[in-house]
Amino acid sequence: MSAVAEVLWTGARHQLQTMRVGWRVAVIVAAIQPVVFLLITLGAWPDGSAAATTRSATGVLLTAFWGATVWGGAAILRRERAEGTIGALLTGVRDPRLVLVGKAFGASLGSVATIMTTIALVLALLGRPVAVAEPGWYAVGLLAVLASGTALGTLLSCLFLMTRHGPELSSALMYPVFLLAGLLIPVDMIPAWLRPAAWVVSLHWAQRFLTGSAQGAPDWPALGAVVLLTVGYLGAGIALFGRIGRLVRERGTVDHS
Amino acid sequence: MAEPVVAAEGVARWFDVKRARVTALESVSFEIRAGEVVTVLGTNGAGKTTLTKILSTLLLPSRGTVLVNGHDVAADPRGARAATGVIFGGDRGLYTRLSGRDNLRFFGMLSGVGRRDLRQRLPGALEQVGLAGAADRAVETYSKGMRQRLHIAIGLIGRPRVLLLDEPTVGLDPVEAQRLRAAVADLRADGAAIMLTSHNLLDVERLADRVLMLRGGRITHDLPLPEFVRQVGHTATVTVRGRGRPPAPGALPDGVTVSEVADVDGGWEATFYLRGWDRQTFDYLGGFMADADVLDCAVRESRVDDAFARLAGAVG
Ligand SMILES: Nc1ncnc2c1ncn2[C@@H]1O[C@H](COP(=O)(O)OP(=O)(O)OP(=O)(O)O)[C@@H](O)[C@H]1O
Ligand SMILES: [Mg+2]
Repeated sequence: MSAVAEVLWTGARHQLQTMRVGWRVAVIVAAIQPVVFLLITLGAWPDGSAAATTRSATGVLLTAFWGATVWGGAAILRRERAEGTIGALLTGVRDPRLVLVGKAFGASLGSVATIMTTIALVLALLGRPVAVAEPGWYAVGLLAVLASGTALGTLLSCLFLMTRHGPELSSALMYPVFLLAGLLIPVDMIPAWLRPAAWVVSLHWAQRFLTGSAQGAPDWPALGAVVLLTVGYLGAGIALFGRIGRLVRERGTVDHS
Repeated sequence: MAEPVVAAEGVARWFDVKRARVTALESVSFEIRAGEVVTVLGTNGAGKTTLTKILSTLLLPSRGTVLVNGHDVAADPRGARAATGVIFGGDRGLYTRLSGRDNLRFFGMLSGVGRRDLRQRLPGALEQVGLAGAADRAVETYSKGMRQRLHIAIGLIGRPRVLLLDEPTVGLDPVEAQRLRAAVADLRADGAAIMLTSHNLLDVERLADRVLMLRGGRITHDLPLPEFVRQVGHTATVTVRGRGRPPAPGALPDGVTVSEVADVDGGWEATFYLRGWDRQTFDYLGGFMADADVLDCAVRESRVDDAFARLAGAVG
């Protein structure tokens, strides 16, 4: 394994371990929420087709994933500060930015896995089949979601470290994105002047690409938008964390303990 | 003599807090060689932790340079870090939900130890600090001393050439503290350059090769341990208590000074400061006690904390 991959993977694994131990919270965010959303959206179309079920399941996946990212991934650095481990992270021999990205990746991987398992279980119990016309492209879409969650976790985690109001920001960001990005309700139901807000949310485009792939018509521009936004979030996050590291050394705001 | 592994030259550090400037370090220069333990002493707020943070690259110096293993901490922090291990006191700074082993593995990776080396070193490292039995328990179930031992294992896992310890024995029981000192002594024997700050007299007495005294942001003394202790001005204090009329101290020999002979409830007390134990001193004290109605006599050797108290500006 190359050194970079090794650091990324160790970071990811470390984050997954942290999540596994904190299973209570993980279950609430990654399991209860999708179950409820799923039951509600499926209930709205009781005799829905496999296509409608797939669309609902995809929306629920992305919604729950957004919740997990904004509460879990975005809180990585805040927790490091609370535990007093951030000093060691910043003065490690390994590039702290890589470790952070690795951790955000671990958080995303953990959430996607839990949420997808939950959704699969609920659908199996209800006996609702899904239909994915282009499974290969659907899988590519899921990888893009994973990458996007990693990038968002990295960026938000830095933003939330710089303010005292991380938890408030988490809840402030959670619902507007649920609604505006059209993850659960179609964008057409949102007032036209508000729709551009959805354009900067990568998960909105991921939703389009995933449902398109499920229906046999992958939306390539949407995939492009996911990739571009993800690269943007990641670049901004990495740059911000580098800046945080410099500020800490200039101002002395972090202790070793 | 060996090349210095740590070299600090004119290091200053100030903090601008709400338009006021707090100066932690004014101008600090010193060196640490391989196989040497330097302890930094100073009152609370003297700047010991600030200095440790600058050496560990967590804090930039406002002025001056520090080379750690030949790498400038400001210009090449990564190079400096590769040579450095940090151990600080207290029970924070660990992933409490994870096991001791997982903590050590993660911090080991941060210190640049590769996967294979890490796998090899983990069992021995846990064994060395007596955590092998508890390695797979979550750190939140650890006692203070166990957490401190884990910090030690983390600081040592990268086999550092430079070890920085900031009050590492705080909260440790005497046995535990002794174990830590033994580990530090081993590292010194292996040729590490070690900087230790501590308010624990025993840490300094057992480990220090040299003592740096920080005061007002400057190093006021940089001395080998025995010489530092000699700064007290006397090597022992003899306190004699007696009944009845206080005797007159008479003519003092060279090397002996006496405080006032004081009245204390119904009796008296005389305190003598001795520069050493020579024949004249023995004879003098013997004569003094033979003439008086003595109740008891206590001898206290001067120690590091006496020197510290004196040099820090307190009475000595
Ligand atoms: N981030 C900071 N912002 C402002 N002032 C600071 C900061 N860090 C340290 N100081 C100040 O610098 C001085 C030295 O602090 P430092 O923590 O280095 O002392 P110390 O010798 O370690 O003390 P102690 O024995 O209490 O641990 C103090 O006056 C402290 O208030
Ligand atoms: Mg301190």
